[in-house]
Amino acid sequence: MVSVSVLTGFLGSGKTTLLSRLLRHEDMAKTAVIINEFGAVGLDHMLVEASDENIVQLNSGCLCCTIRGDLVFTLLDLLGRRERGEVLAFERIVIETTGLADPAPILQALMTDTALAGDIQVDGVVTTVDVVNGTATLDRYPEAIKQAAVADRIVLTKTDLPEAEDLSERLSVINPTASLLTAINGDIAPARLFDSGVFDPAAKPVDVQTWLAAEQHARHHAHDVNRHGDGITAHAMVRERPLHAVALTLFLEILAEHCGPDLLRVKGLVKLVESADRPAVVHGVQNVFHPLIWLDRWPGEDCNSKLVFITKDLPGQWFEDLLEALDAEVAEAHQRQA
Amino acid sequence: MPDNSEWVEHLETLLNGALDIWRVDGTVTCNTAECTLRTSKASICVARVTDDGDPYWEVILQDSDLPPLPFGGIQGMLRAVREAVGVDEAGTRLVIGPRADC
Repeated sequence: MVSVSVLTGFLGSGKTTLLSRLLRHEDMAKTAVIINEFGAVGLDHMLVEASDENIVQLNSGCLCCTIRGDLVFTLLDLLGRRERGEVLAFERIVIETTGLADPAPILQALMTDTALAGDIQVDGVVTTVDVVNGTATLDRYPEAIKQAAVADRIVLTKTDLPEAEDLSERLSVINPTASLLTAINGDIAPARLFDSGVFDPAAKPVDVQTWLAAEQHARHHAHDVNRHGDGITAHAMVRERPLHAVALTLFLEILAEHCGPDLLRVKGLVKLVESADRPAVVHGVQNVFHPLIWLDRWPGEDCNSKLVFITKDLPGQWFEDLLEALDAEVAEAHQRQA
Repeated sequence: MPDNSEWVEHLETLLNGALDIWRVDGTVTCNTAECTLRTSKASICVARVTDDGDPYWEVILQDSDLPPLPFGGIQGMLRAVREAVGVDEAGTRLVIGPRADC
């Protein structure tokens, strides 16, 4: 299974510098790269020092808008060439987006394409944020906020410059589930960015712990999440009583139907009535959800359901009200049947 | 099993939150049996009927000649109210990605 990561970040935030530096690392030797540039003539691939055969450019538009099909085709082509021994037997693919890209539709394409399902595993989103221009960028460009909101890892760049600002608090409010890392001139160990197991939590429970810790952060900031005017809010839900599986399904269907694009990400562990000892991992991007994964056991003594919602201006309390009502309705139906 | 007053509480919070989610201005008023949601486009009465048989939700479009619309669950009830208040955007469908081992 080839692991696929999305590397995004606003224009000039240091994506290409980071990627170029990463590819020099021996742990990145078995990595293929897809670079999406907006414009007829791509430059970034020239700046990335790696074996040419494992770098693919997509210059015909932006991945998140017009060429999602091209991305799937390119991935299938790369995987086919790998299978035939025409390129290095890579174990990881990094997709570098354009600076204005919305990573959510890219993730959705990776999560839903049946032709890719048996061959790739989505690893997550790495977002670079330039701390010199970060405040101005976040203030002016909703694309930059969304890139941070959807991230699993946020890499702060240019932190060594005297003009650097402390953006950690603002970014933690936008996305408390993402790890905040620092890379000066792209210097960071690949293991801190990739193979995070975000979509395979059994492989790396530490990420589940990060989500759970995020719940506390989201609750702490529940009173002032909009103070930057970013329009992005994180809402955490903790639920002691186990939930009926049918109620969870209905809940996700209603979220998809009514919240759609404003529901940026949902992550969490859920205790189901039908499987209380084995938590179910919920992971969604807008209306697209990964199939539930069951962990062998709870990662710690706390066995409460915990869900974190990162949304664009949605009232988080509604999620709790809705889930409570749905579970009551399903429980009532069960009682009547009994 | 919740009694009807508890269902009315659920309904009130759900409808109020739904107005925010749909970005629709409106009000929700409830008595012990039902809630009425009013917007510039519609006035809708929603109740949980528990008299005989399986309980269900009833949506009454007060400015319409349509008979009360029955719904077995919250999902259908919310969808009907959403349509009645005239939310233009089509709802999106839940998509579950394929399992890697299938």
